[in-house]
Amino acid sequence: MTFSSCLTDEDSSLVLDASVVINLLATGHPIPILRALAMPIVVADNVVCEIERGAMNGRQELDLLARLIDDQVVRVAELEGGAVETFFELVSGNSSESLGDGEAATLAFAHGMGCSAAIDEKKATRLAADRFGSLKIVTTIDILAHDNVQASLGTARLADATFQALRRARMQVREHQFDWVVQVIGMENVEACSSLKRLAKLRVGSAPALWR
Amino acid sequence: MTTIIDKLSAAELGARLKVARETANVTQDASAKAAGIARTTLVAIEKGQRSARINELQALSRCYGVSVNSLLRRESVHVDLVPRFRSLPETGDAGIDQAARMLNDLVRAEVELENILGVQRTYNYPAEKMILPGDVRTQAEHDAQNLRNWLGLGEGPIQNLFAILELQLGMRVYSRRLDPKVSGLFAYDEAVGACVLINSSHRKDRRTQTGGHELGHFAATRRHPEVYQDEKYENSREERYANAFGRAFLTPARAVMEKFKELTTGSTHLTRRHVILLANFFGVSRQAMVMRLEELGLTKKGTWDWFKDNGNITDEQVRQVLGPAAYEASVVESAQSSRLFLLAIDAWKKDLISEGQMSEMLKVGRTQVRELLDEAAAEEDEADDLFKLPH
Repeated sequence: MTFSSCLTDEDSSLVLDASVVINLLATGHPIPILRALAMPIVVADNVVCEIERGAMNGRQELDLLARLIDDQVVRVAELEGGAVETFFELVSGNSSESLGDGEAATLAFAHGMGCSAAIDEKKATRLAADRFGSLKIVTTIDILAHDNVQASLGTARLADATFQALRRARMQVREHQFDWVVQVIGMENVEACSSLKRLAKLRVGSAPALWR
Repeated sequence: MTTIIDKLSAAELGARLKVARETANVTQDASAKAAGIARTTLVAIEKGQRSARINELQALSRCYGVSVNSLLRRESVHVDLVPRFRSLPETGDAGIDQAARMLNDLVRAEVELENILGVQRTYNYPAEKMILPGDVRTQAEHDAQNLRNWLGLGEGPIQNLFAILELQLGMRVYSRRLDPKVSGLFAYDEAVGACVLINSSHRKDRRTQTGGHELGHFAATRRHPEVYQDEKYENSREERYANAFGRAFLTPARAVMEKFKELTTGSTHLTRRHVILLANFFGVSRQAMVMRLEELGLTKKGTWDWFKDNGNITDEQVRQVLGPAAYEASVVESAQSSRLFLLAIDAWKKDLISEGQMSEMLKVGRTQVRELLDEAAAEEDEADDLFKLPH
């Protein structure tokens, strides 16, 4: 298990995008996970609006998010000053170079505040690298693999949380995170996670002893 | 906070804001108040005489329930189907208004994706028929048969009406969860063509019936937007035509007569089993099937009422006759729109849209977006040179 979370205790605070919030809510343990990070967790109000709009067919996600806000596990923030300008830069222009409101607000806020952004979206990650070289981007798996989260949840709950995020929210996993995920949830559960199938297939060819 | 949005011209942004306000059905007074500006300022912004400021734009986008990105994206398309639905007698109903906005937004998304991907839509529309004096039902029977012939469908049952509407005729077809009383909507626009939205929370047979009705509107009254509520009284010749057209298209007279004869040979009475098998064969509801049999004189008038008064033809009986698998296939589906989904997946793969943009454009939640992308990834991994397309 060579992968280790790039989220460290030096990170001052963390801004969550909708792509990550949805995964964390699906884990079934969002409160202990976020509390274990022991850093301020922020969600831009545009992300809350986005989750509200996406909840048209069921309010479950919105209710869970409202609980996180009420319990002060996450703080909702409005963009201010220079971050607003950055936000408008990111939502304007050609389709290929613009982002949805939630993604743009997450990057603009994290950039403006000098903190890290948690985002699982590939286009947003690319644009962030292009425009803000110094901005640190982490993924949901980095949050789950953080030492404090692993210690706080314990093996069984971490396995359940990771498996539920994969199964219910189809959490995306990067290639370098795949081995860690499999160790956590167990090889027998890989088949049940559609977002892992592609990576699992790739591994069949590369490591025959382990994967066949 | 006075930065002016300079990526679009003031005139273009003003026009987009006006369409967004009208689509959301918000008055100029209310939106000016929401943005903290005078009504005259809002008028100037909509006319392109003054640029919107960032804070004003943010307030207006929230007031209209749209994203700032959809207002500012350069390729964003602005279609205004909603005001046409509002001109219908049902005006003011929240469920209908919401459905009209949904159709409008889905059409916008599809056209924008076509534009950014450089895809040209192919239309294959038959000439529009006029509703003539005389018995509209007779005319609908003829027109439905003619359209079947034109499409090369022969007399057989239609397995998937929506595939014919979308892939053979080139209509824009979507299904989403709508207010229960709204079965479907139809609109036609010179620039974007014929558009249909079907209520995905209805059963498959009812959705097909709605599709047949909307096809009737497309055949003869294309230029009139329409909201189909099938429990409403048929109060116009156009509605009677569309209903008769749908029936005739889905259950062609000759095919029904032949199948009826085949199934009832040796029987002395029409039974529930006959109705279930016939309805399943033609993919229509039990009620629609019995009414069609009555219409064609194959059973006495009042047969459906008799069934209704005597325990109906129940889901359980359908399950017994067809088996659980066939029955389960008839239930509610999740949001669908095959062509729009294909375009969106393609745009996402090319990194032209993000997951958040895709979710907003398709009007589906993140999890369904990820489901589409996972399926697409799985299909792509399967592909080898054998499946490579020549273009």
